[in-house]
Amino acid sequence: MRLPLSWLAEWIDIQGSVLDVCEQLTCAGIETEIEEDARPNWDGVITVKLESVEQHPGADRLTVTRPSDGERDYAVVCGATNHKAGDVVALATVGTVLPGDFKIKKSKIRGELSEGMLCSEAELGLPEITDGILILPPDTPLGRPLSEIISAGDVILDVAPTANRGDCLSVQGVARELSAVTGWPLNDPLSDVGTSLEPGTADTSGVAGEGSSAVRVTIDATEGCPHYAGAVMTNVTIGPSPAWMQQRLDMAGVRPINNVVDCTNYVMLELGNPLHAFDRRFVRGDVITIRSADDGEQTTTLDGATHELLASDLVICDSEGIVALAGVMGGANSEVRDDSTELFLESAHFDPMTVRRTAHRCKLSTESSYRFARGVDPQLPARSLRRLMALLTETSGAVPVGSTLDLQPAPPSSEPVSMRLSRVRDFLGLSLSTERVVALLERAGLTVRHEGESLSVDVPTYRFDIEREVDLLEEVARLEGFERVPEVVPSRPLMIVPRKPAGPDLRALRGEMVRLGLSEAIHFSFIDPAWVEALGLEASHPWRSQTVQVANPLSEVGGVLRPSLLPSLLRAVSRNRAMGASDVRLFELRRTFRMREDGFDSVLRPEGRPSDKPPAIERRTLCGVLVGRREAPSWGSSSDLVGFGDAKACAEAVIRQLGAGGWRWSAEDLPAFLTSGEGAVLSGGGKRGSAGWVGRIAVPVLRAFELDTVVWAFELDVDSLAPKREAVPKFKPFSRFPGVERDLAFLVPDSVSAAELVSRADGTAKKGLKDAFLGVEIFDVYRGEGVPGGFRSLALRFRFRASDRTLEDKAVDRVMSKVEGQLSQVDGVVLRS
Amino acid sequence: MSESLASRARALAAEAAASLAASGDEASLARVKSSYLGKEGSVTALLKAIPTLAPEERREAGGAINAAKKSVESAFAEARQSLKDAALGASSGPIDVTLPGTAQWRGHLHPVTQAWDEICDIFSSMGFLIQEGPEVETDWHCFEALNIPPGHPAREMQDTFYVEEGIVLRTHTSPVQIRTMLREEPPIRAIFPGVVYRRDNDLTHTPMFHQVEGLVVDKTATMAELKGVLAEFARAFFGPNTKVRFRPSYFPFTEPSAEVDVSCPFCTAGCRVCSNTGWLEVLGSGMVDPEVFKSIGKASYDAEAVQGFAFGMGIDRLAMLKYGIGDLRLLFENDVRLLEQF
Repeated sequence: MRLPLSWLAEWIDIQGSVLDVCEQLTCAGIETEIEEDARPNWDGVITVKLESVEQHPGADRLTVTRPSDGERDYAVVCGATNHKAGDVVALATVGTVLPGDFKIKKSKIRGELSEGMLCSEAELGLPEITDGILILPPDTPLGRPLSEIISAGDVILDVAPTANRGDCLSVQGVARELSAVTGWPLNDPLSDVGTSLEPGTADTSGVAGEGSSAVRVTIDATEGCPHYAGAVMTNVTIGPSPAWMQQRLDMAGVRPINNVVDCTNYVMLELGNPLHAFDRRFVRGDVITIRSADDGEQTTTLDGATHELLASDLVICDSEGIVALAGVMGGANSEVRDDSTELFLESAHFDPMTVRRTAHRCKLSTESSYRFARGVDPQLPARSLRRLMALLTETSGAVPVGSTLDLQPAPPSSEPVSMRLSRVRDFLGLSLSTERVVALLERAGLTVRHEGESLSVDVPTYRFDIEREVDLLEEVARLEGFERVPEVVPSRPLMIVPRKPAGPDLRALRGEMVRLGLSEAIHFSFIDPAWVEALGLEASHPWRSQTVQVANPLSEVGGVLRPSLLPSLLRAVSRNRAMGASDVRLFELRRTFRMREDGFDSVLRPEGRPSDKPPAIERRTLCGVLVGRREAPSWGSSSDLVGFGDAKACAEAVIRQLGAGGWRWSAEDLPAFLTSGEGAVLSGGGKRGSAGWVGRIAVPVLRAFELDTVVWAFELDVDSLAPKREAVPKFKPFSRFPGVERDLAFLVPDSVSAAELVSRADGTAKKGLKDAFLGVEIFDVYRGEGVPGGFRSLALRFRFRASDRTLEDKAVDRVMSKVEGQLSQVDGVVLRS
Repeated sequence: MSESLASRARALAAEAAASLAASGDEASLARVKSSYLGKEGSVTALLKAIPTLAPEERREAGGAINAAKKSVESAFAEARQSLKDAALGASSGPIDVTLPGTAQWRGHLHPVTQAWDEICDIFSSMGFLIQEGPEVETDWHCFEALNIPPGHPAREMQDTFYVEEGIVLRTHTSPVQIRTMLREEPPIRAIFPGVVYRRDNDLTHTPMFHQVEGLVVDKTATMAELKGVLAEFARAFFGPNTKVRFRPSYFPFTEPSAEVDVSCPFCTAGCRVCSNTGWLEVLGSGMVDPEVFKSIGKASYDAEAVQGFAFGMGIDRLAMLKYGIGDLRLLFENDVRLLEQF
């Protein structure tokens, strides 16, 4: 809210600088900044008395003056003629920079020393009234900065009260708050306006005006409208409002329209109560009814928009239909026009929640709805109406017709709020005397009574945010100052905190990736669904059919929660390549999202609060992409590119770190985004299903993501892989006797997998030397010279070591010849010699 | 005759020592050794000749020949060792010792993760448990349980992504506080790191960001303790001289509520980062509002039985401040030139 300081100063005796005002309000929770400072810079301009004025010896039109600031005398040459000895004037001392960037220097004018300049109004940036220099009243104190003596220009504050302090959305409200915080005395410039009209009644119906002008007002919805004041004024001449009012409205950021509208806005800004003026001619049937809308009822507001209403909306009607959305916006049919002469004035209180809901749903945010939604003093309508009527009389010649109306069928609660004094210490941790607590609350305008160990507090209606003990405690802490609450480190019984949260150790997984040379990426969880489609998956694939979709997405970031991290990482590779990176090694460890089979049906219940189970399926997922060289580039490093083994090594590191067991890689059922024959899927069999994949990204996908390079990638569902219970490593004793290693190489047709060969070799060797066989690994894969097409050479290394003896070569030889025999029986496998 | 065998043995030993020493590789060493000690070797031939000697000569000749055999064997062993030593010590050429060490791949953790981990470590060391919860949330857990009914102005403060009526992307990690209280009995001392979403996308807002919230609930938690815990945290994260300032504010789920500023770690007299104020707004906090306890609906959380404090901070902002990253959007572009700096 824009608030001119001069307006605020009418309501409170500001005993400090503008910065003090900002600081004090901000420290009390009402963020306040200087929005505009239109004050001229008068630093260096002081008040002085002219001790003498003499003719300049060398120039007819100049005088040589001797101004005094009470402590020292100056010599100043002046070209004006309206001054005489004894006058108090404004001296711009040497170094002053006057408006217009006019810098005052020490100089000699026609041989006479001049230490400054006596200022005219124009030179000070003031409206020019005097011909010549500015002459101040003779009793003006000397040696004071001019800015303390006369005020010029204004400061516009930007005041941003928190959402619970609707009472601070007016000049009066900010003044009250500033007084509560600082103790500066309040003024009431409207003391003559008074608060009540005709005595208010608890009736729900009554008449404003008289004769043919009379309007009968009926409140049908007292919950939505607990207070309604109204009046009829006639003899109105519509025209521009006076300059002073237009200027204030303008400074407050409200566009002046005409005297009637301007007066309603002025009172709203001043007191906080939004008001509405209807052209009396168009109050059809001479009735105003405040009622709930009918479901499906339609209305057109002043802005030309048509809204379909619900029963929870509150409307103002005449005999023919809706004339305003209560507290939100008037209707086009009854607004004040240039030829309006008679007005029906509405000054009412509307329920915050009702206005909030209507304004939000109809997407109407007005000065009125903004205030009602945050709360307005429910007792304010009568006083606001009086102030409005007085201003209308002053600015448009309006005269009241008959009686005013003040219906208050549901007055606000006047129950005192109780606060235990012990809570100041036990809840806030503040040690304050009872007297101090009482003084603070009283400064906020509350009325405090002692009741044993408690205080009973009457809260004025404008502090509707104070309803409970904690609200009073907050007021105590706020007005005492949060900085006075001590900093205390809690002392509590010792509790054991686990080294890491339950579940998979994500930090260790990230560490594994970093060790393997992958850097961590973090992308938004939303993606464009087209990115998933670009992966070439069928529409029935869970990544396409079970996505969680945002109903109100931001178009630039996409509207689907990621079912896979791959698309984001492919985009990252593409962008980094475009920026000149040749090697890109990235991983991301974040959640992927999928709908439950039954949507949200098992979470949201028709009655009562929803279930505590997570609404969607969220899985921690680790995805990585490898592009470029296998070895970090440096002198002596190989120029080989990354391959299948590098990607799979990353995936295996994850599985090893998690301690996942029983998972199997298979070349079958490869997802469509992987190159056929160059990828594998990790499956757990049966219910466990698939938990990841590794492989080379297929060319059409590369093209879709604008990639011009081979990309190897992997992705694993960490939550599926993580064992239910963390496995503690168990020591296995090892042998102190020497071991034996034997190597065998085979020509193996492409139809036989390495895993199959290894599994057979493993079985045979284990059977042959059960107590000494340690294992068999592939240590070389070779295609090329000496290997026929459709075959590759696989070299196996067998390791033997007995725990109780030195192995005899003969025993190992026997096993190895069995292995040779067994493997040679596999279709097409030939021992390489 | 015996004289002759013994002296020949000694001569052979000397000759063997010389040719072993002259052998340049393992194969010639073996050849030389075999030419003396092998089946057809000259020393072996002498041994074979012993039975032809007179019995009284055999003893002396045998001793001499055996000594020669041992001498050849040890010369062989010695020559072999020195060959190995020579190979081991061989230089592969001159080395330019000013060359750098060869490069290894080394990945980097995202700065947000590093700040996340550091924040969790600090609170862990103060005895806070780490709890996480779903990112797709119900409106009830995200808003209503936190005293933010539909239409509440606070909902405008955090423009929300909806999945459908009643289901949102969480705008803060506060629903995890609710879930923790629903699941566990007081006392609670926990932090809630996580990903959160708000429908906002401009220079200083991204639609997704990261938060850590904290909650302490027991019989005696006070606002003074809230200040103490956050001051400790700020000093641990920003440095021991960091000051903390609490300003009144409003959140529907705390009363009183406070914005928390820390003294600018980059300047003493005002700089661009702190907009010349000397303070950085980094945290929201307050005493848990009784309405929140009420929505838990358990006797153990009756507002007369327990009290508590809660706080929340943006990890991204803390990471940017700590590492001097000026532009929020850089955090999610994943340019390796940024990632590799951390």
